[in-house]
Amino acid sequence: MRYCGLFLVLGLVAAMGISRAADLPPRESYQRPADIPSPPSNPLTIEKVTLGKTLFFDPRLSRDGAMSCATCHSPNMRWSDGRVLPLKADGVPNARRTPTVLNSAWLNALMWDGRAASLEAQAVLPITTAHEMNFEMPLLLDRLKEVAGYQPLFTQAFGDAEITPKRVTQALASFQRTLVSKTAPFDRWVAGDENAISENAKRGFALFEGKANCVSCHKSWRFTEDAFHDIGLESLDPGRGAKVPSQLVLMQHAFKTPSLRDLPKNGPFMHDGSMHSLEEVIKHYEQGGVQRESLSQEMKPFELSDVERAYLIDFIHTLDGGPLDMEFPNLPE
Amino acid sequence: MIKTGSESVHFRIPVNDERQVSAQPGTGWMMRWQTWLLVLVAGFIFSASSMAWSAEVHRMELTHHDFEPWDFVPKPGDRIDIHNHSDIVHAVYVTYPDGTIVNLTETAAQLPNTTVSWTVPADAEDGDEYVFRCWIHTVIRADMKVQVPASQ
Ligand code: HEC
Ligand code: HEC
Ligand SMILES: [Cu+2]
Ligand SMILES: [Cu+2]
Repeated sequence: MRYCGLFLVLGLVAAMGISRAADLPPRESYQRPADIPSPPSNPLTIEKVTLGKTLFFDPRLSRDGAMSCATCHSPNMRWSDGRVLPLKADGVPNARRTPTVLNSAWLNALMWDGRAASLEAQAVLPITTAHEMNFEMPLLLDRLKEVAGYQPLFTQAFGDAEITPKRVTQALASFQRTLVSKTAPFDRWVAGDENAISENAKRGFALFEGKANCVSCHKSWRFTEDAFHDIGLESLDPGRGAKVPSQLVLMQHAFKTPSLRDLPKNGPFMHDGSMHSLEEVIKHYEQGGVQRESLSQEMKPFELSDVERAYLIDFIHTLDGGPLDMEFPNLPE
Repeated sequence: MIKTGSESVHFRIPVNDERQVSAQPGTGWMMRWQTWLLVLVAGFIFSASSMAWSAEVHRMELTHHDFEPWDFVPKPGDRIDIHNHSDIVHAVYVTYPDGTIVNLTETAAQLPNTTVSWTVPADAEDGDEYVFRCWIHTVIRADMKVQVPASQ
């Protein structure tokens, strides 16, 4: 780990009694980044973001004109849909809950099974997936070309009014990159404000890093590194196991670790939407999950008292910065 | 053929010399001097005939979420040992320039404190890039550019 040296120094300082926060884990590894990353092939510009935002909220991106990206990734639902399974998922085998698109600028693997590698590559999938927007790119382009109001938006973003699949996906990706969690109480504590979070939440943080060992998977300021694990849910969905060579036992039933920032209050949580409270989630980890060959080696049962469990929940609540202030775009005619 | 992400790749089970787990205890045949003599002679003939340089062993360290910086340039025939010094499991694979994927462990589990190895193919060409990644932690990545030494 890059911070190993830092940890060591901090550890020594703490051991010498210079720091009073000796029993709390170091905060440096949770520092928020200063900038939003974007690939050299699609640098972030205000004009692309504006276009992307319009496209994101435009239901004309779906065949029947009834569904936009925001139908499932809604600003009012923490950029998800609040549903166990998305609209139209009935009868779809291994359908999965809609994840948030918050902080997606930092994702290094997309979708629950990691099948997309970038926001640009991902954006085509919902448009063309039968049980989502169920459209075809050429038809979508034709439809957008008929909307006069899109032409200035494309011109401002890309220099001319040509509408191509690449431009559509670059704009959608650009807008999504700007969806970043607001500063949460935990961030203020990381920045040095001792009173930003309660003493109970600090105890919860110590459990998160200590006995409960959530940190072995929920790491960094986003509380994930997008790694894939089988945490022993009942779901039979093979997850990443269907995308990688079958000999990779540990990837069977493995799903991408979600961020713990800005979680919806009562879920639904997990790829199958099977849990509805943080208490239920934590009890699952305590119990250790379904024992099978693919179960993550980092899943080790442990025991918390009711009070400790409440501390841990208090801590997770400090990762909530509240909803983003979002003005809905005017859709062009 | 398997699919990862959007591109399709060929999948090959690693052969023995590509997957060497250091935790294996010494076995009888390794102890016998005849074997060593044979290895020595064979190695001599091999190096004299095909390569004008001798293969080296390089070491890389895997942490929780990255390879520690490394400063060697691999040559064809070199072995790269990858040691997992973190307390979590990794599953490193190598993507060849032609898209072939080689796993460095059979079950995708490199336990903490173990070493896996990979040998640069003898027919690797100058500038060929081999990419090391982890199936579990997609953030982990190392691009290995092979350099063929100028012949003396
Ligand atoms: C019908 C609901 C629905 C619609 C409409 C929809 N999505 Fe999604 N989105 C999902 C679901 C479900 C997943 C997870 C799928 C999976 O992993 O198998 C997802 C995943 C994603 C992800 C990956 C997030 C992550 O953490 O990996 C991104 C980014 C995303 N969608 C963006 C979009 C964009 C952009 C649009 C519009 C072009 C869109 N979505 C339309 C339901 C929807
Ligand atoms: C082995 C790695 C691992 C450990 C340890 C771990 N998690 Fe998770 N966590 C995951 C993965 C992977 C998922 C998604 C699993 C799925 O949907 O199949 C997840 C999902 C969650 C969710 C649901 C989030 C959402 O948006 O659906 C919460 C909340 C959560 N974990 C909290 C915790 C807490 C609290 C701990 C410690 C008690 C913990 N996790 C320990 C890997 C881990
Ligand atoms: Cu480390
Ligand atoms: Cu790994």
